[in-house]
Amino acid sequence: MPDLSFLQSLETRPPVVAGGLSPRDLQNLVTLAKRGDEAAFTDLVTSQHRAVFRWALTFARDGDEADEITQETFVMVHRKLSQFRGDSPVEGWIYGITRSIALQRRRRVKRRALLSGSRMPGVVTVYNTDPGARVDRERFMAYVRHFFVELPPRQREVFDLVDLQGHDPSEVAELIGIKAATVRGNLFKARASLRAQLIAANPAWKEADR
Amino acid sequence: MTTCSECLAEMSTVRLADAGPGSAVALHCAQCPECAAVAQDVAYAERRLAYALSNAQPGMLPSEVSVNALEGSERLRRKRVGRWVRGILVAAGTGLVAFAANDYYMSKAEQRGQIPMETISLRCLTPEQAIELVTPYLRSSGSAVYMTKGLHVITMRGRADEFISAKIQLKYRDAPGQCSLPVPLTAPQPDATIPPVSGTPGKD
Repeated sequence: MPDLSFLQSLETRPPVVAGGLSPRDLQNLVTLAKRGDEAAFTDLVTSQHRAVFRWALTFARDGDEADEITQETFVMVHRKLSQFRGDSPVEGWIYGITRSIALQRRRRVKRRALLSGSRMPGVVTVYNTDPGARVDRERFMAYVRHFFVELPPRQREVFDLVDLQGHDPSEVAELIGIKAATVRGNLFKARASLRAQLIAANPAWKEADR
Repeated sequence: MTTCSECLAEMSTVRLADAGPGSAVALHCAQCPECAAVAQDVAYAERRLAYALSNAQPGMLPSEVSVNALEGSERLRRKRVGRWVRGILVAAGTGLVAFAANDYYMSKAEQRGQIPMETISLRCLTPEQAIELVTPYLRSSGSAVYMTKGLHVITMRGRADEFISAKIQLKYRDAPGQCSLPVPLTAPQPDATIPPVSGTPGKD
């Protein structure tokens, strides 16, 4: 009899990237940063840096672009500190900024590609003093692209937030600002598209598809 | 009993973590090693992806990002202030030019209102002929000559000395005795200081 323990093991998700600060701590940091406390802002960046980078990865073409999105996000977070009223969680607010920066970049790249008559640019080659790390990053991004390249940004985002990060669809709907039904629709399409590839590539598939 | 095709169809859209021991996928996979292998592959591929994304390391240190963010934000703030200042300066400059232009044209109009005007009724010359006669003598800034449609008159605007010269011309050619005579080739000059004529007859 086949071992089905892997199905239960999916319940144990990878640790969700977070800074280890409670929502109240984050609110306090934002309040202090709003008053011009640079140390508080640095703490806020330190706590959210990996999470923002993780979110940026689903929109980016490569790790360098994810780094750029992360940087731009924190510039914008600092610029908009005064506009944060504290009605919503800090993480949701930062996610919204990350998302909007990433989509703006995507539009900009598309427009430039359209104007120059070329196709979407490929991986940007940036000089890195550590060739090993560079190769690792490239291999990792190739792996991520292998899954995500066919998915439209919205489906990619929803699949990542629900299936990979373990958020609830209704939570994601609130985070992105769309209806829960739309989240489920996108999730359904994303899973179908990704798994169709995985299943088709599996050697056991031909046997199973009788 | 679920078939392999049904199991694969279910597997391609359901959240695998939800496919617990009692689910259709789990029940079928327990019986079918091929489908179990596919399910295992799919589950592990997604799990690897989730871990790969979660373990990805940013290329920059948080302190570096923080410093860059503070500097970038300050640069943007300065840019924004600069844009405001430029906008205000442009608006002020435009206002100043508009004010100066308005002042200039108003004073011109006022000047024009102060220039004396005189309407002369004609006996035998047509208004067009009269205009042709007097135009060369109305040379100062703001001077003009008009005719009124349907009336046998012309209205002149200009300086008093210009009126005198123009009236002399009109008096000679529009005198009662001249009306039946053809216009002579040369007219007497009113004085020696008349400027050389180069204006357009009927100039407004």
